[in-house]
Amino acid sequence: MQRTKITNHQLYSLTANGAFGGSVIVIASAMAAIAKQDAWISALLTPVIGMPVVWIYWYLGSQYPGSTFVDIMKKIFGRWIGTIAAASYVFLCLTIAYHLPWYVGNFITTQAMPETPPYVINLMFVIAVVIAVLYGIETIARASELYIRFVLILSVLTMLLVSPNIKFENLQPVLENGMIPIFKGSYVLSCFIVFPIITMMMIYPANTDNISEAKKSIFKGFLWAGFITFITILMSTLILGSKITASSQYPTYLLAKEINLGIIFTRLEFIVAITWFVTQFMIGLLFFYAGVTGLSQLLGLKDYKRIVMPLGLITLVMSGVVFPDAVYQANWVNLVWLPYITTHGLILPLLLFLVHLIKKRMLKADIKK
Amino acid sequence: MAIVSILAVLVFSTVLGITEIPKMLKQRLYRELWTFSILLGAGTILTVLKSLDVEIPNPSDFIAWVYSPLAETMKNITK
Repeated sequence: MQRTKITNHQLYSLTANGAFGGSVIVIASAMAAIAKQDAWISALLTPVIGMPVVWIYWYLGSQYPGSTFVDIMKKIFGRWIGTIAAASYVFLCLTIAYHLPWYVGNFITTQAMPETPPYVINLMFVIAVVIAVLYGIETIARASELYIRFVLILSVLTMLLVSPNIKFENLQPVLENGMIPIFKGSYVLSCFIVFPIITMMMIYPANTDNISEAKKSIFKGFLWAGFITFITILMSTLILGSKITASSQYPTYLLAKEINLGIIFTRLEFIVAITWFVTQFMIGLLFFYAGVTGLSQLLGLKDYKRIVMPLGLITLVMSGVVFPDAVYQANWVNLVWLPYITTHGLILPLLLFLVHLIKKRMLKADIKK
Repeated sequence: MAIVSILAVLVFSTVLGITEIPKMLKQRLYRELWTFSILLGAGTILTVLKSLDVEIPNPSDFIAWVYSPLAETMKNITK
């Protein structure tokens, strides 16, 4: 099958979007709850820890150019185990694809439009996602190139405007509880910015042609996402303090509420909200795209676009079912999401990597004989 | 409100079926046709049930059940 190819800059922007995507507005809260005022050290540490993981993703892709993650699993694990692993991966992608509209719906109905039913907002989000997937990967990649600049400008603007409120006392005392909470914080942060890059594996070896250039783009995108996350977490702790950050549901949004420069620059919090909608849209798109293409490959369909609309309908309905309330959601994210994404984003690629190495060595030994 | 959403989803699936199924039949994409019909049927049934306020089994509960042995470890990490 002839696949559409994307450029390296597009790969970079997709990776960056996939990495900081949904977490940028909420993650500071979880981080501040675990690592307290040292959350920024965890945020610095995470890209370092994430590097080998991203390298494994890149290596797996580089060994099987032109095939998607589902193909790679089938080739490495064999037909049966590969199919089971791929089915589990596709299930993850489709599950998260209907989690993400819930966040947008919940945000708007709690912060801006309390009387609107969440389904109306979810509907618009899902319609946008479905249309984007129907347009195909090239359009998604071009849009992400545009969005990454948009996000950059808006986040730099808000961070600059909010900086007069910085209180350095909020960072002290440094390393009060030792290194353990920092490592815990890094692990939690990697579950949000490192492991979700696994969705990129449906795009990266299949839709790129220059593997060595792709390595650079993926790492650049990942580091960029790490940097943005670091800035958000640092600013939240500096301005709100770790206690308020930990207790609020959307700390970055709260942070933007602090902007108060003269009478002109005030009430700019929806700038942050819009940035987050855009990144949330991109990560939703990546998960949905990975889920749809993965499912169509598993079932051996020739054209994935045929099943986009029915899956969109299911996604829409499930987005209202998935979390009954915010407490359930917080518990689910803490107790289930972390091990769930770790299984698929760390353990599964690691297993693939090891089995691949063993297979390669056995093949070499065979040739020598 | 329930009637509106049920009617909306029925109109949506009928229109989608009328426009998509002949195309797939013409191109002889029978596998696609099966998947499409099953998914669309499931989606429609789910929407109707949800509109009638019937409890739909939540997949998040299932995933939570799978990872329940790890819950204590996770509580330690995220504390």
